[in-house]
Amino acid sequence: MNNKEEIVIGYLEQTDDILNIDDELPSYANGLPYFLENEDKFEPIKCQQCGNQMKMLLQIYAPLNKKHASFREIYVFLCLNEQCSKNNSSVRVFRMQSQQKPQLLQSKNKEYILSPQNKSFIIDTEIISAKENNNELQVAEELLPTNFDDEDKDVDLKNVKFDNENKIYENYLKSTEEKEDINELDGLEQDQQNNIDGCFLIYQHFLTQYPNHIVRYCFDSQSKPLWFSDKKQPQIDSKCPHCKKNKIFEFQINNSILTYFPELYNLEWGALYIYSCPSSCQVGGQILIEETIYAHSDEQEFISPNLKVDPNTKLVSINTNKSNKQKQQIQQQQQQQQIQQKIDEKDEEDDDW
Amino acid sequence: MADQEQQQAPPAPEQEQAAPVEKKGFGRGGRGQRERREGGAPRQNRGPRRFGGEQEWTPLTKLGRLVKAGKIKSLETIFQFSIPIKEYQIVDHFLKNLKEEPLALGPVQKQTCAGQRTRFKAYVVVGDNHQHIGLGWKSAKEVQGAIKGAVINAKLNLIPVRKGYWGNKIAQPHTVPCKVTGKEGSVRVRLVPAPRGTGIVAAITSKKVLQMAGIQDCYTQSKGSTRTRSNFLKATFHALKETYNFLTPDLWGHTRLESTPFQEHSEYLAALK
Repeated sequence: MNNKEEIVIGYLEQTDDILNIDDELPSYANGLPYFLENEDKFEPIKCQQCGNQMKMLLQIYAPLNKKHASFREIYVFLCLNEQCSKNNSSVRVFRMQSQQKPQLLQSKNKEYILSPQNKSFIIDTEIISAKENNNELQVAEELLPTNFDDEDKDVDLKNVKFDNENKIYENYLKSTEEKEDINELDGLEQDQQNNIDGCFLIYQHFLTQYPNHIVRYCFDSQSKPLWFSDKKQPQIDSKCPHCKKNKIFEFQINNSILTYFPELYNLEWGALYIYSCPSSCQVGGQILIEETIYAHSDEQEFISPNLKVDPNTKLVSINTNKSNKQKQQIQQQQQQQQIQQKIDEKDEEDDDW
Repeated sequence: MADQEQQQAPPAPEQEQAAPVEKKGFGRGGRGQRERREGGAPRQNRGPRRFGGEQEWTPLTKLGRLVKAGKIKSLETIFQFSIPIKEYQIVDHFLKNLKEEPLALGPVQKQTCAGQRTRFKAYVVVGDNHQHIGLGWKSAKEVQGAIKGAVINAKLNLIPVRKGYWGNKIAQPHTVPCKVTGKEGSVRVRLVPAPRGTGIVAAITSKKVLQMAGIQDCYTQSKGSTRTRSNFLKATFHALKETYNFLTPDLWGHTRLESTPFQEHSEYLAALK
């Protein structure tokens, strides 16, 4: 899991004024989303399971060095319905980008707000160099009972306090009880512990070292995410529909975000992993481009998708280049789909005829 | 406090001239320098990082959140529903006077192309001398590091111990409820109930484990190569685990089906809304 690039981590900070920040576009959580285009151009974002409108968890400003993606925002949406929360399709992620500096249009749809009682938070960033990250990883593997501690490493243990352990060791040496003489301890050098989740201990270690960090960003094809658990680690094979390249890991959202929003307490996932197209293609003429998101939970009841099949089959926005007639046809098709899904709307359909 | 920080911008007050400062946020690249606006909120100082210092525990699992909020009254609820404990702070929260004692500390070696690589392996037993016991082990380059890892491992492997009577049921239970045996490798350890006042009749290694589990009187019989301490310790530990797996006549009665703490808490949350 050694990274070569530096990692940017994000913390939530309370603020009253979202727009008065250093970056051109905001990165923040819990509030009305700031879209880069008028939100009438696309439908409000709905859950694929239950059809309710989803709430925005956060949006991140993540520009790339490419010309067409120099102003790029990523939005993460959640469905808070109880039945949906045990399913991977209760989270969705979208990307919006533009070449010139866009006008920030705040959405007027109040249903997007996640937690109306709380204020909004901006996302404050901090950089961790690859060396520090790798060192933390090795410290974790050395000192925690993970099962990954076989390799030789040079661990920098300057920051570690061993007060308690020194006391325990001294008591052990001083104790006058009968002790057997140990020249070489027998037994296996590597004893596997079957019920210990090593990945979770490393994840927990990072979250205590950088307390309360929400986002962990490293957009590199070599970088690997910090997994929540060693069960159900997915194989993400989804491809961008435009350039057919494999999607790479962009960032992850840790579940320390749940301490800020008590509404989210019954959500099952431990971390959300967002994968996106490495060249940030403009797919078709769409405004909102859907990317792949994986909600990692170690519970067996959590339904994870079979991510080997490309899940990007349902797209949200309507293509603005089409003529009015084609737009009507698309709308009629969508209505017919709704008839099949919802039996309750039968009466309204009769009125349309 | 500014020793080990990694801040990308000078922490000096930002209300100075709006000189373009190289700053990095999310995303790769960006278009060179981003201008800093005046009146931006100053960055919060992150404190220095220490492993194992006094840092507040933010729970990461559902069980951890319930424990921190005080919704779960005791460890026995967790054991009753066989919920795996993934965070060792949960154990610390319930058992405040847990004792940790290393039982075996010694070097282990591995042959590499550059000679032998020696590390220290520690077996630590954790218990409250009443009814909980945990056994953990870890090998690391330094002894203290091995002890640290073994303590965490032991807390994650915590089990309850069932005690019973040898004869008359007066005063508190003092011995194993029935004859139990545990095995690991070639070692077999058998624990047999003993009358009050016998004490623990066992080898030094397993005597310590039984003491920390809170058993006052016990006869033991062992078989196999008990010189392999790791197997001997694990066999004793498995024997203690068996005490709650054994069905005795006083457990024959019907038990009420109870809802798990997760179900109880979700109903509580739903009632709040």
